[in-house]
Amino acid sequence: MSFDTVQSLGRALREGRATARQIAQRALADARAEPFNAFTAVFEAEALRQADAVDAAFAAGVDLGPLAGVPFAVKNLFDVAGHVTLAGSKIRRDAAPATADATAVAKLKAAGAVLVGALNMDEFAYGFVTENAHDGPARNPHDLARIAGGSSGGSAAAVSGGITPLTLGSDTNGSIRIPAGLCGVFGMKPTLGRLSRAGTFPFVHSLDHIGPFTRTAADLAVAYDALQGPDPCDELSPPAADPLSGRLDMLAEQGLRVGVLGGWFQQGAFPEVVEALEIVADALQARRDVELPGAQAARAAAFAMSASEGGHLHFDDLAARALDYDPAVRDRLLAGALLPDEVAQAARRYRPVFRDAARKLFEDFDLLLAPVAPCPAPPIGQATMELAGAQVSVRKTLGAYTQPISYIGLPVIAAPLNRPGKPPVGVQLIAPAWREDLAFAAALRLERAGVIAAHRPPEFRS
Amino acid sequence: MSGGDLSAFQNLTDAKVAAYLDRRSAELGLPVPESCRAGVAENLALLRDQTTLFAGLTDPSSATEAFEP
Repeated sequence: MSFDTVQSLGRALREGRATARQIAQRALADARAEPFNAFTAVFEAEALRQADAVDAAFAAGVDLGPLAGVPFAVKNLFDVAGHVTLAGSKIRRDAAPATADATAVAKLKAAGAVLVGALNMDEFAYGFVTENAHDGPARNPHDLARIAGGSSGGSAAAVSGGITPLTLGSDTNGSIRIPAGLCGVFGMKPTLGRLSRAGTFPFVHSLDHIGPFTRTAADLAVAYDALQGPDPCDELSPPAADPLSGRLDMLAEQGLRVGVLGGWFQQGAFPEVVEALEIVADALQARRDVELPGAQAARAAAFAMSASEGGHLHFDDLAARALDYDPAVRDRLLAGALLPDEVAQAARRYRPVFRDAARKLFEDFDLLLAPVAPCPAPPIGQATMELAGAQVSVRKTLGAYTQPISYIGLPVIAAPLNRPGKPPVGVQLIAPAWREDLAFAAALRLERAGVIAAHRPPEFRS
Repeated sequence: MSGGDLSAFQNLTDAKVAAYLDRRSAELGLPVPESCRAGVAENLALLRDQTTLFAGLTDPSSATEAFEP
């Protein structure tokens, strides 16, 4: 495992210390041999062809930019031309291969990044654990007996385990932020509609986002910039790109008014999670116990919308072959399909109410803080956990603090607290809609102050 | 109770969730395999509990707007 960053690989390439082919070969070898069950496919021939093209471009004096020659991998719900888009399922194994790359994949390839494989996930992105019944569980690189989180568990594990410095995932209710937090890496969920979702297998169309995972905040900015831009294939009409990576120093110095979300966002949190939040809050001189009214209702509405929309999306397959689904996902989708339509309608009606409450709060703050998850990564196979004195489902509860935020589409960076040798704990840096720059400002400042950092798992420390 | 009755759904007792499951399954033509019934009923009960947390907070007669973050 290399544990390189996007930026360090870029330097190695430009300084002639490595070729794109050498970098790709190493990532491919690591992806084939990795112990995290992060990869579900390795694209060796295509990756080497892309790497050779990057090397040829360099030889011809063409600099493709900071992602040139950087290996990356994607959650297996992203279309990759010539490969079946599994979305973590058995049902789609007989589907026709994708005829084109997802927009996000195409953008990274166009920037010279080299796609080395596809990654494990909860079936159809419905879960927070990546204990996939068909592909097996993704393992947390910091403790192989623990979950990587989900649903983008393979995406977080691949970066945390040092296989690739960049992966893509999707986040409907927390599926980027939770695995990033549990695996101790950076993950970004942008504003709803900022990054094109075209060519990804949907879960809940009105809540789905895509975003990157990396080992540093600066790498996250590079990836975010490459993924931005209009796309007529996504009906949310992503806006023109607003690049950030050229102004990271300025962002890191920017003054921020920061609040720590209390109430629902800390209810039942484990002591180490509260401690992590306090450390980040101190570093940003944040005001404590800020209340975002209606968060519990927002979480409930997101929960119900997901079941209902997901159930409707899968109605025909549920009717025809329900037993081919992952049991944990199947029962939730079936229940969602059986809901009265008025449940989803009520959940949609509450959305602007809660959004307006958040907007009001952002009149006083540039950034809000909340834990990513109530606890560090639970053991693989653990079905229930205690939250605020009650036994609750791990699979359904890890998103308690992330769901209200994605329900209203706010941009978030999940940042790993700098606590080497301890189980990773993440903090959500939550910005107003369309102000990803403010989340980056906080992440960069915290990273430069040594408050947040991605660490090598203990087994791989040199 | 029709599937579209929101207040009736919220007021389902645990004992009546299975009957709702059967009725709604038949209405929609969505068979629920026997081996899944307990899990689906459990999820329906959870969704009923969650629905009570937000369903009463808005006016059902109001239009649903196209959401902007």
